[in-house]
Amino acid sequence: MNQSTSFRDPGGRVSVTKDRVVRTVLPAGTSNLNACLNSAVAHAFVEKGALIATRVLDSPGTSGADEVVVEHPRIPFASYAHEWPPAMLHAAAQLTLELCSALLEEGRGLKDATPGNILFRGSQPVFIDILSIEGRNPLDPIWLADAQFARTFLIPLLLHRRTRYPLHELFLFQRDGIGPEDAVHRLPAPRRWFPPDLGLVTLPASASRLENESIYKPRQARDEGEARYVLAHHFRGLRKKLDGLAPQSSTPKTTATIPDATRQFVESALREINPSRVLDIGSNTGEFSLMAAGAGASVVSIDRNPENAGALWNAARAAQPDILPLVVDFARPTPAAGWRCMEHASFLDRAEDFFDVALLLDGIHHFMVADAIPLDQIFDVLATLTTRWLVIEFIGPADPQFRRLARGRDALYQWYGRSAFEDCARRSFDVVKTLDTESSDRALYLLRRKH
Amino acid sequence: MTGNRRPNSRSADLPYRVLALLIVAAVPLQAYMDPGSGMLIWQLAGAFFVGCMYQARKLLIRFRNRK
Repeated sequence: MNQSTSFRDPGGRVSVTKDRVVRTVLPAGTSNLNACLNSAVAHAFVEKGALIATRVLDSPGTSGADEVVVEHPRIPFASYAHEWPPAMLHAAAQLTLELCSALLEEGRGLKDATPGNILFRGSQPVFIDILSIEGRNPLDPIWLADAQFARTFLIPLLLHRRTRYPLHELFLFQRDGIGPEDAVHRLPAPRRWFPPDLGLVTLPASASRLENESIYKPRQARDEGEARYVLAHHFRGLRKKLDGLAPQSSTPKTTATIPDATRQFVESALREINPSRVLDIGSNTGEFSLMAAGAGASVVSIDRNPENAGALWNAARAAQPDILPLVVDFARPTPAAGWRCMEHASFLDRAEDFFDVALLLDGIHHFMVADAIPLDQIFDVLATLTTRWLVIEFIGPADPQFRRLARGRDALYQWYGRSAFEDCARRSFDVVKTLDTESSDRALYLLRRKH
Repeated sequence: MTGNRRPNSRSADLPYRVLALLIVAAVPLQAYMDPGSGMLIWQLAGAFFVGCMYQARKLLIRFRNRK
């Protein structure tokens, strides 16, 4: 799939294909490109993997054209703010601020500050919008991207802190986050009059009543030292606010223990398969994701619950395994979004034929019963997500968890059992190995895709 | 930070007008507002005070060095 994903920036456009990311920098963007390429800070961030590397392919000197063509390494799996748990949004904010503060030392800055500038490589945030780096007017004491930073990072994190506001839902419909004018009425009444809510939301919401043209005219400090001092002070303040808004460590909602037999079956399957890319569907506590990452695979873990995804991100971040946890509901996956629905590809488009193994363990009853998705359609979709292997757990109608979800509607599932499960599976997969578990109406399958 | 600015009454009053809002409750706004203006005004007010702090500190350092 060829995704042309960038059109807002007059400085350039990006073309993403399966293997390559090529950026065409237009004349309006060449000064920013040079600001990035000549920045020692940018080089240091590239070295530590926090800024995307850039290789110039074609410049005006060589081709005679006005455009400069550069290439970036492909981040394996793109994800967006509307799929991140709050902890990942917080990490993206930290990186933005860290980069901006470091650039200030060499007279540069960021012209915008949005989660759209960040992708995650595994659990590590990577700043990808190199044209956001610009040379600053040394006398300018104002960071114009401050309001955007507040709208897309600080205020959403504050709302989540105060009201458990679902941030993934916010960003699906609000590309530019939420401003103080909208946020102020969502904050609890007494709390909005105390810091940091007061300075982040309440006062700016009131101050917007003073809007007039004069506020946008360029400001100049008396000298460069003053401008730098003011900005450094401002960034320190933002850092302090951001630190105070760190999401409290999430406790996974599901804490069911995994039977030893299941763990051994999955471990042995992963050893045999030796996967490179794994999709863990309904990852819950992330035990299987950690297992797959431990076996050397790049893992994308999806769960509809932000607490589960957040807890797994914290675990992955601490141990540095290659896991990207996302808030995605397999039964209602992230749709395509943005202008003409072409800015952000849907989850299924990004995932199609991307993984060599899909894991669906302790989850199929949720999709079949709670979401009422026909079993054959579940297998049809699974066959598009894995190029080879599927490790899946059969959960039969006699299983206590299945019965709990069915809530007495047993008649609806009279047709369902091992043979119906295998019939549906065999439409797209061959059965390689199975294991009956002792405790309940469950069994484990290792399946190989037919085509 | 105000050295090169015209003594424009609106912008000179800005920090005081923002401070005045400390005592004004947030009221729902009916008209379209630029989503960045409130934050910008707030940042301008902060920059004004921090800029004054910087100049005061600079003066103090110069004064001490003369002693």
